[in-house]
Amino acid sequence: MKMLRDLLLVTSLSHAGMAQGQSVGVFIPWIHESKELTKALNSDPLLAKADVMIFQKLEDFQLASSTKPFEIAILPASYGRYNADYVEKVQLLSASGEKSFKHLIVSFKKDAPPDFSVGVIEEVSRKNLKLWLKEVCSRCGKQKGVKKAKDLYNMLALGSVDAVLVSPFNFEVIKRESAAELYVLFSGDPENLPSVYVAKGSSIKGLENLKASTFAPLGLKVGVGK
Amino acid sequence: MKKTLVMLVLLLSNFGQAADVVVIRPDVEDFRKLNEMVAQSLSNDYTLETALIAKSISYEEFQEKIVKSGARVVVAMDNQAIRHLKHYFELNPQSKLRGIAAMGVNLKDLIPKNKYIAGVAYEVAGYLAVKGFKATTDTKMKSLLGIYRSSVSRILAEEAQVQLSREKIDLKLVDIEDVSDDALNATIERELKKIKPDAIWLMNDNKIINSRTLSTLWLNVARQQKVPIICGIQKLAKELGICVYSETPALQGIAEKISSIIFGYIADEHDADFYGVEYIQDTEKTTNKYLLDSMGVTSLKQIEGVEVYSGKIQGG
Repeated sequence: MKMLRDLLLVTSLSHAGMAQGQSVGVFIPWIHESKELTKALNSDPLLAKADVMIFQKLEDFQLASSTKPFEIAILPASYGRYNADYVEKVQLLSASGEKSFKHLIVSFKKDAPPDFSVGVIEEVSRKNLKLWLKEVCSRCGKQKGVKKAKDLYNMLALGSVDAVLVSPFNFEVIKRESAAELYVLFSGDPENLPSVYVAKGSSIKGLENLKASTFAPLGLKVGVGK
Repeated sequence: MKKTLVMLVLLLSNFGQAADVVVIRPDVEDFRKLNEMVAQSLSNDYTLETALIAKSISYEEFQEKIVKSGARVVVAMDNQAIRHLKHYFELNPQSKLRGIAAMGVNLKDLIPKNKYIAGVAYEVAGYLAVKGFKATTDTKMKSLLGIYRSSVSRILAEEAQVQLSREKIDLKLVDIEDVSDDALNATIERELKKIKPDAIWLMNDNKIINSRTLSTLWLNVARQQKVPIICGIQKLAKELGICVYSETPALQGIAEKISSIIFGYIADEHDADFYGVEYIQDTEKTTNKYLLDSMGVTSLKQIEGVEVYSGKIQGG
């Protein structure tokens, strides 16, 4: 019965403009293993034949996308605010159903020194980083950027910054991997969770039917479509 | 007077067309590649020009390159160029120019935090190497023996001690500054017996790693005593089969650090002390399957970016 339903779903979707073997580009500043996420995405009936490419750095995603845009892209909410080449289709939610989250400002010390420096993942271009930081952490001042999510904590550990700006998802990973005592100094301002985007001008529909478990490696699930 | 006039003419001749950044470097393959990577990373934002120099360039010639370029940021590669850059700021404390030192040895020790020159360390932080080894092999690590020479890499060693202690790893440092070559083997043997460390971390230093210590000391420690050695020379973790794990800098990682400091100088108007000498995070990681097997480490994990060398090793 389930198989039949999946089959029907896939058939009806392909009629709605969802071709087999779509290209999917992913840049998410969440610490994850590419293999695991690719597997999860390909296990979704809608993306079973999709050609999934996962990027650790924003610039690599954009470079690949500049030659030929991906049909589907999974990107942070900031992407839509700072770039015009992809359109948000389906907002992803946290496991508990929240649409937004607040970054945490994490340090080895209990108190931030005045004028503290904060390490951030470059999820927008370096030129826009300062502006973006003000949006998600109005109390944060001087920033240092890092390209990959998995390198963020090392900035703190190597003494390059006084604190790091981490999503609650990344904070959980960091706590699992580090034995160090960490303090949350304060929380930032609300930011939407990542979304499933499509290339501008694309007619792909039905992405709200992606399975809830498809984004489990990122601690996310599919929400309501736009 | 004449000199000032020449400088003024040089400055004016470049007025309006000076590049934002000048890279002053010897003509060496790795430096050329790094130079290209930095240029590419800045291509949408800032202009960059390159001034090639002889490795033995004099201070006067070096200074002329800076003045002639009219750039706002100078990237100096190689220790001689870096020394000249330091000297330039000693002579010109009012300068608005900012410098970046790269591809030099032990910059952490060579350049204390200052307003003018930031840098990118070529040595991989002990914290990073040890954490990388731990993650790759899924082994427990409580105590670590670090071998260093205080006149060469004191800061590298001491920072690793602080950073690893946060991770509950006890790094015992042995300074071999005053240990003669003849007494080195006995000193290390004694420390190994006393501490029984889970691993040894060797800093890049020709007193610690040379053909004599490799054949008479480290080979024995790795192969007979089966103590894991973590180091910063990839060859030792490959065919030479001495280090069980190595982490070496990836040029791309150095390029990213350099361009982010350039950006910080120009766009955010930071001084060099906002950076100091930064460690890189993007590294090349290699682990040696033969040594892991011989040490009974079976928990090797496939981690993205870690090369598992399973080829032949010398004398293996």
